[in-house]
Amino acid sequence: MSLRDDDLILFFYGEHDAPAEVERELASDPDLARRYETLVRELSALRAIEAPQPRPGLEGRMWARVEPELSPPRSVFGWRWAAAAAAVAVIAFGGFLAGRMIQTTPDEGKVVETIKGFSPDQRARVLQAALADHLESSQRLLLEVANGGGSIDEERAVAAVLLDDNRLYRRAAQLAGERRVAAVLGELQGLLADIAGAPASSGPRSPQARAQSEDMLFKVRVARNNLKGLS
Amino acid sequence: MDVAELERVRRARRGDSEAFRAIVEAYSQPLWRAAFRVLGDGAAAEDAVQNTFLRAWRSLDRFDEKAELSTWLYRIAINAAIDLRRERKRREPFSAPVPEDFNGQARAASETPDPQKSAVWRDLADRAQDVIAELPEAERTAILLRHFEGCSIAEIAAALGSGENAAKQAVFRAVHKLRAVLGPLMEDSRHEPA
Repeated sequence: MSLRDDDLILFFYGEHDAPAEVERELASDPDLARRYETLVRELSALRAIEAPQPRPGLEGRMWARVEPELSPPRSVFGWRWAAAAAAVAVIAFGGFLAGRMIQTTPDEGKVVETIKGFSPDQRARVLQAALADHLESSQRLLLEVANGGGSIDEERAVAAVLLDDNRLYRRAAQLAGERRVAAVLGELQGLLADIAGAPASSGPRSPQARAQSEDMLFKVRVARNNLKGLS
Repeated sequence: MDVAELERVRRARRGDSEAFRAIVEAYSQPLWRAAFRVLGDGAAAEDAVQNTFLRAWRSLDRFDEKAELSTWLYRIAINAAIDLRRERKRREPFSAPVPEDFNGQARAASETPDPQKSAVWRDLADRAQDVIAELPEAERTAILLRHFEGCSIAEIAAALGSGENAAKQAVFRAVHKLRAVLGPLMEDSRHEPA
């Protein structure tokens, strides 16, 4: 049995399929035993970042901080509303802002009235929060594609939903003057279209698709961080 | 996920803040420890946990009930802590990133009075946190779940939404990267951790 470092890592974490064999090898092969000792010693350095106990009363403090910030949670309807509203860009922009604020099915008149009531600051904040959520969802999909372990059919379905949303958010970002975010969303749009339009297949994603997703993942992450920096 | 927890999630989704309060109380401590490992600072870890719960509240409708709430929250917490760490480094690029303690509390890992050893520990902690912060998200989540939370490869795969092989590879890559940085440091210091 020829053991690689990855086998030793699995053994260290108690995940190796044949631990007894590894033990026998370690007992009979001094070089292997030295490699394992080095691994254990180096991973023991992670004890340097073990956490202490938090100050007493953390739960109470946390609830006192979180509770005032809780707004009604979004319903799944928000996604359908955002997708449907993409058909009419101007109304859609108002619509998705309104949808986030009023939490109910907005009719057109209500949308317009609600938007009129927003200050520019409120619009910017809501737009940033909406974009951040969209980028987070896109990150999750790209991560799955980059990892290459997920179902292509599921990825296509998610990409199709995100693609609809992406057009809307890109337009909204342009209207809000978020040029960098709009540019990233423009690139993301192409990749989402590729993922959504990939042929149904039980085979793995191509290395090229995975590499593109990895690259896009980085850009999306940076865009998300920059958005947070604006808020 | 047990039935009671699932019920709390469903009630919280409908806007029941008391149900969400139970989730906050159950997970504040483990999430704080996860955030502390990334940030090395207790007060900042509390900020990260607050952000975690707020993000979770806003995203409850997207939580997959087949998944474990703990791993879902844990993943959000790690990302929230990473965001804070990057923000802090942008704002204070030359400040000491790892305090010796916080709010008068001692580090659990080592209470050695030896200043040289303390310096080694701080250096190790700082470098380990830097490496972890720079890992791709899947690798970071995988190593923190595996090494500190004792999650199995199957649980990590579920948290990542990937296959077990991908989860395993993420652990391997993270370990290799950590060893590449920590190994030479430990060799140079010639100090075994206390």
